[in-house]
Amino acid sequence: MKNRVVILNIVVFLGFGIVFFRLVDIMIFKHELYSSRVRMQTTAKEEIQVRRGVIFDRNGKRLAGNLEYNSIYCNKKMLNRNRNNIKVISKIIDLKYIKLVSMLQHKTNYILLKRNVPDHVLERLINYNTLAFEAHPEAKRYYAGGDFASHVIGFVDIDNNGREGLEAVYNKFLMNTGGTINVNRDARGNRFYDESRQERIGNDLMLTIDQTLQYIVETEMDKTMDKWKAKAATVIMMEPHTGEIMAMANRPSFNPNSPGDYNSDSRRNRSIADIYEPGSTFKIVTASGVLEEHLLRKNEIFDVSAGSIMVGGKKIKDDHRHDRLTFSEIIEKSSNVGTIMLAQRLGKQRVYNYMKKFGFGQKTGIDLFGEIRGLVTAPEHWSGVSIGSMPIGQEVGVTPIQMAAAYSIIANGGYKVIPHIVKTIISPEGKTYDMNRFTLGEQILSTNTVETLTDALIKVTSSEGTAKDASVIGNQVAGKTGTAQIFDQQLGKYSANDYVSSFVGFVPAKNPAFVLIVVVWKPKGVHYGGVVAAPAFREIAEKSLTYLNIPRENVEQKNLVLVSKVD
Amino acid sequence: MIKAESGNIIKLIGFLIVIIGVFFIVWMRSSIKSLEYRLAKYQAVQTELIKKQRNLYAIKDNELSIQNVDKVVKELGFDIPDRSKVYYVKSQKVSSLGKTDRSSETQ
Repeated sequence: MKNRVVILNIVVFLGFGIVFFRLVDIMIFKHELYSSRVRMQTTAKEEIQVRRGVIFDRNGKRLAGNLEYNSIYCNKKMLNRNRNNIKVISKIIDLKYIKLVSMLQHKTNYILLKRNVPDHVLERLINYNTLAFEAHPEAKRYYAGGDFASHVIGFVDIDNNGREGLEAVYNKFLMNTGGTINVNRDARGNRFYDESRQERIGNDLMLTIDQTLQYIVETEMDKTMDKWKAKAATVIMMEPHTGEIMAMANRPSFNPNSPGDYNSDSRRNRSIADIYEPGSTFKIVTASGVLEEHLLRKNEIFDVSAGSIMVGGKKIKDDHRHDRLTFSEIIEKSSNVGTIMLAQRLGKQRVYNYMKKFGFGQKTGIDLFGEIRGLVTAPEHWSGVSIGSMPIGQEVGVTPIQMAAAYSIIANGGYKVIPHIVKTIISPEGKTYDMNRFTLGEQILSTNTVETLTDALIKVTSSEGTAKDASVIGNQVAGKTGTAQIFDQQLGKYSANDYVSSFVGFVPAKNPAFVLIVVVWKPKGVHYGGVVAAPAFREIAEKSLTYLNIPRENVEQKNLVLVSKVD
Repeated sequence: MIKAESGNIIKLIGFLIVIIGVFFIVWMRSSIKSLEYRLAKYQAVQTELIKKQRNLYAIKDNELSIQNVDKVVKELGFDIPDRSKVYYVKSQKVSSLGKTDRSSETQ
């Protein structure tokens, strides 16, 4: 009996001893090995979802957002690959049968079938075959307005990286960094709660663009394009004191939801990437120079009755013959001869200096990719004709944004401004950061020059001026028409039929709410800026002034004020 | 004799406390795990709802896009007013004595 007890004790002791040593082995000596096995079984690597920030207009209207879509993966082992089955699947996911077959012939078992698949398609697919398909969530950029402001907003590629427009310029702000995280799960693959599984969202952008003004601009642009069967058009509306772009549109346009369907011509932002000869709108450079350098005598009269002037062996003519004109009338009637007389008084170097002062031949610094410098040659490279051509807007190439920025200088009292489109950046936590904060730029023109020039530009839109069709009911408009022939590269000379018609101005002239430029490329029939672009300017300006609640200046004289007495 | 009995009771209580403690820890751990399961389910629901919310925002943006609004507004006969027909209303505050308070004029 005693022996049995001893043996039993030994057996129990040895048993516990073996268990103890095994536990020591597992828990101490092979700790790392078993911990890593546990980690492998209970954790999984998961990609952190990244979402681009939203783009809003200046009033908080969403211009670009995200749609929650899916990438569909197929586990080939779980799929019956007979002809009918594949045909059904190709129909559901809208993928060509041949393409799907070739994808399924790939060596790997796990295949990415399609990206950016909406939920209802995914549901149909999973109902059809639950085991063979798996979905990974992903975002698709979505532009609710379609081609609305498309050249400004730009677009993204399939991986949601900005490719053009603000999407590209502010990509690093709109996107956040992704990466992977470890999530806990049980043996069946069920995941546990994990705080770090939150997605990462980029910063939102708030633009200076006003959705309503943009819409007014785009609607009127379409009408102008239709009316004149033009090749292209650009309109920019800019706040002259701060440089904020209130609207910017181009035609032809494109839908950023499917940018691949359009050619590069439609996707190009002509406002910043196309140069044109500005014609008479460029006359402000010479006019400003003459005023700034005090080269005019009081009430001086210029005799332009000859109707033409010889410069460097070339005869440059006025469109209409005039008699004797004052400085102001030279601008009002848009006399080429008068402007050249002013330019000759100013001299080559100073004409060039004033071109540079207005910002021609250099980028404005707008926060968009693809801006070009334009074409302004230095005086040492000028031909004999240049002193006659350049002051009237020939032999120079400008972009519409440069022209808008130049007229802003006159509109705001003589100060240089940098055009910009992004107002603030809003972090995911809601903090706002002012971008492109306005700082008063260098003063280019004196107050006297600005006032004289503004008065002359107001006359342009008077009943005697070249752009009476640009006048707005109740508010004075200061502006200038431009008509220029297009240089035909193939012929090596100016085209007889193709013109660029433009009008640029600001309103109300004495306290401008905006500078507006309308440029129309190759209108059919009539080509004068005063006929083609000026009416578009008027339509946009009138509607915009009403929208902005800017009252008519002559309300008191016209008895348009009603008085309401309240207690 | 009494000392020996009380010693046994203390041992028994100690043993029971250890057993209860072990079971309590096991119960607590399993409760935490089941809570984590529930939270994970809620998290999945939350993710799903956020997804739906974003897609609904997109639909709303589409429906309320300025093109659609303008279309409806024009169908209803509204438009941006003709500037030549706009009158301006200036409100003047009148005090109880019937005097006009000109400082409160607004337009």
